[in-house]
Amino acid sequence: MNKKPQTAAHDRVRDSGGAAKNRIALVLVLSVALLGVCAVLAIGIGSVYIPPGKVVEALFSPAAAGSTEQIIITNMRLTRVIASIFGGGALALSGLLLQILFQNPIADPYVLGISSGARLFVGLVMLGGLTLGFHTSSPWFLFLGALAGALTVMGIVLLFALRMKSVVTLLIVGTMLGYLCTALVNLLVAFSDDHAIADFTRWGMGSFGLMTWAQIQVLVLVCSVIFLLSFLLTKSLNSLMLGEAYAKTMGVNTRQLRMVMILFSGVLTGVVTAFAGPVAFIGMSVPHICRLLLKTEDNRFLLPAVILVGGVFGLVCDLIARTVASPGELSVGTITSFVGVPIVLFLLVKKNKVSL
Amino acid sequence: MKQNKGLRLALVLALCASMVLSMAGCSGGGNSSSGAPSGQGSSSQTNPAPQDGDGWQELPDPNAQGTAGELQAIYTPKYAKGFTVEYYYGGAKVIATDIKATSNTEAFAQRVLLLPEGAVEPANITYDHKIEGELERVITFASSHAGFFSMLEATDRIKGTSIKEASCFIPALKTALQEGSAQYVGSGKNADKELMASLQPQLVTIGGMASDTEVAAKLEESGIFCLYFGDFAEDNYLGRAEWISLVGALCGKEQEAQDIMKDNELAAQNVIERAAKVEEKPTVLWFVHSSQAPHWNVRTTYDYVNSMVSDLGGKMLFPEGITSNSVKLSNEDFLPLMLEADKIVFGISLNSYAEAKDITFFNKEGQIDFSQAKAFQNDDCYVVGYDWAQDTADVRSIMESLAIALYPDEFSDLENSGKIMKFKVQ
Repeated sequence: MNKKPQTAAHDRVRDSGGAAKNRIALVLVLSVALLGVCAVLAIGIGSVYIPPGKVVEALFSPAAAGSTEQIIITNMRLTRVIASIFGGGALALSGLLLQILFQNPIADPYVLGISSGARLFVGLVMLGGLTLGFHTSSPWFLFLGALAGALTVMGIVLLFALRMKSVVTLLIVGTMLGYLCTALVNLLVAFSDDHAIADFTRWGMGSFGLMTWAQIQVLVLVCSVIFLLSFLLTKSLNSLMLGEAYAKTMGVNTRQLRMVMILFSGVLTGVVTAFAGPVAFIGMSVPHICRLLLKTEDNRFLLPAVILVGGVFGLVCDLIARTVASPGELSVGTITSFVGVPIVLFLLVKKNKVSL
Repeated sequence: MKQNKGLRLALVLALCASMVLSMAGCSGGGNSSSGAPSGQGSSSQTNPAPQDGDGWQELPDPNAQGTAGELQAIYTPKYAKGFTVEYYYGGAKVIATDIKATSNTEAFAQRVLLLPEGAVEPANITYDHKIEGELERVITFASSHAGFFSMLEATDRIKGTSIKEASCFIPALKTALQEGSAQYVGSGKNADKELMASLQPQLVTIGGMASDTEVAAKLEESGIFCLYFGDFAEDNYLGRAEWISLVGALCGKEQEAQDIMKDNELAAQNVIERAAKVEEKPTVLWFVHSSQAPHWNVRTTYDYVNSMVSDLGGKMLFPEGITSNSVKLSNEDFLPLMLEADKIVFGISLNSYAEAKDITFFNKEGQIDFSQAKAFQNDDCYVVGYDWAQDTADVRSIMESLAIALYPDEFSDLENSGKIMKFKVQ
């Protein structure tokens, strides 16, 4: 007799005994170690050579305050290290939540139209002159625009989520909203002059390199709170993965859970896009990488792994983006795709090599 | 249920309202699809044409006697509207900028206190930043800014620039980039902030685009002062050029800057007077090609280039009803303008168009064939020079070059500096 699909799913979620647990522990420990090593490298490496002793001094010695080395290390490298770790982790977690919500492996913040909403509202500010009397090009104004865009689209999706039970329909709604936002942006572009378009295009080249300490404080605070709250959801998420009916029998308020997932995903994407611009692929690829590495879909392990690996991924991609074309800089979104696609393909091929 | 419907309706209405508001604010303005090339540049913009050599404010005497720290004089530029310089007895100066907002940029206002060696700091004045001693380490983050320093023979103060060596047309700066005494720091949002910090600039000169302000916010967080230049916001070529006087004040070369401006004014007057005697005035289509559809971005009388064209008697061609400085046109709307124009000027240097040999490079979709244009057939197609953006203070060269383009026979005695040249690359 064939195994029932729900039982197979149950195995995927709950198959965490013995060797599997060792593997999970190893991956998590290695992720933490890798994050630490990459962070040290990212602080030490840059377009300006600073001897290791000076790096340590700049970080820990009050005597170095105000020196050029200290400015570079603390205000330029450390900020982007923190930004890329939290940004990468946030986008990865956002992608994981959406993939669970839609039970669709290609779901990510772009699919729900959240990123497109952020882009539209920034477009309204930069191309449309929707300034409301404020300084248009202030980084904070752009942040508010992007956040408002992400939250607006998320709000609309939430409204639909209240009425619709089918996640597939919700996925279609998100996709449609994404298309609508893109169309509206194109409309704005058609009526804007070249300078404004150039500026908008530059904003679209995501970068973790321009965040100020004030912005990082917001990013870290928002992400930390949602990371912690997400851990409280892991059991409910596992139940949801076994089916809505199963989750209900386990006492999960599925409608409420779906709302929380959309809310968390929207806020995480919004806050990262607002400060760093759109950064593609992390949301989709990192959950895959983690599933393939952990060989489990148990969210008790997957969720922290996704945050950690997302951080490593963001950090490494940012390091590459700022060093390979120095003194210029590449868009971090370009690197996330260049680095992420081969990794995901390699892991997929390795997993399915027999059938290939 | 009714509440849900109401909420949804409110959201949809809010989105629609946002779109309408934003479209109204679009800098390109809605293109009236009149198609008729009827908008021959009416002088809808007030242009302070070059005046007789008078009207120049005398520069304060640095040796004048007065109470140290007391205000001696406020220097107001003759053409530029975006800054003044306050001079104090005892040698201190304050550069005060007040840059108006444009369709793409916000307004900026800053006060920089300059305290050369031995100068007395005035009491009871406000400022955003203080520069003590000589200004010796500058990063220029816009092409035109480097040109100002170059004209004042102060290029050695530039330690970093957003101009790549390959596309640098300022000889002293190019040499400095080759020798390493100045460094390319990247440009726009992707500039290398680390490298900029390592150059320990006393000042970074910066434009007003959103990406510039993002970079400035990051640099200022690190204690690196960024001074916004508003030459881009001036609506007149002499006003743009006169930002050299701000650089003059920064470098202690006020007299040299004023002399350059006086020469600029004189040169402009000369060509304007000669052009006024020419009976037949040309129509001018000044455009750039955009990779985004619609492809044609045409300058109007609200753009600063009109101040040059109209001073020389030319009339800008663009559709009626446009009140922005440029308008994007479809092929259909661009075609009649292209056919009618006496002179066609492509407004971006060919630095980015290495393959372009003449204006037919921009033939589009089989509908726009520049070889059909009167201007092409009369060999009257032009392109701005390679150093166009890097040499905005050299009004003499610019105006003489434009006069040669508009009236080749009447100005055949002048040598073309290449600021505006025939679009016919050999």
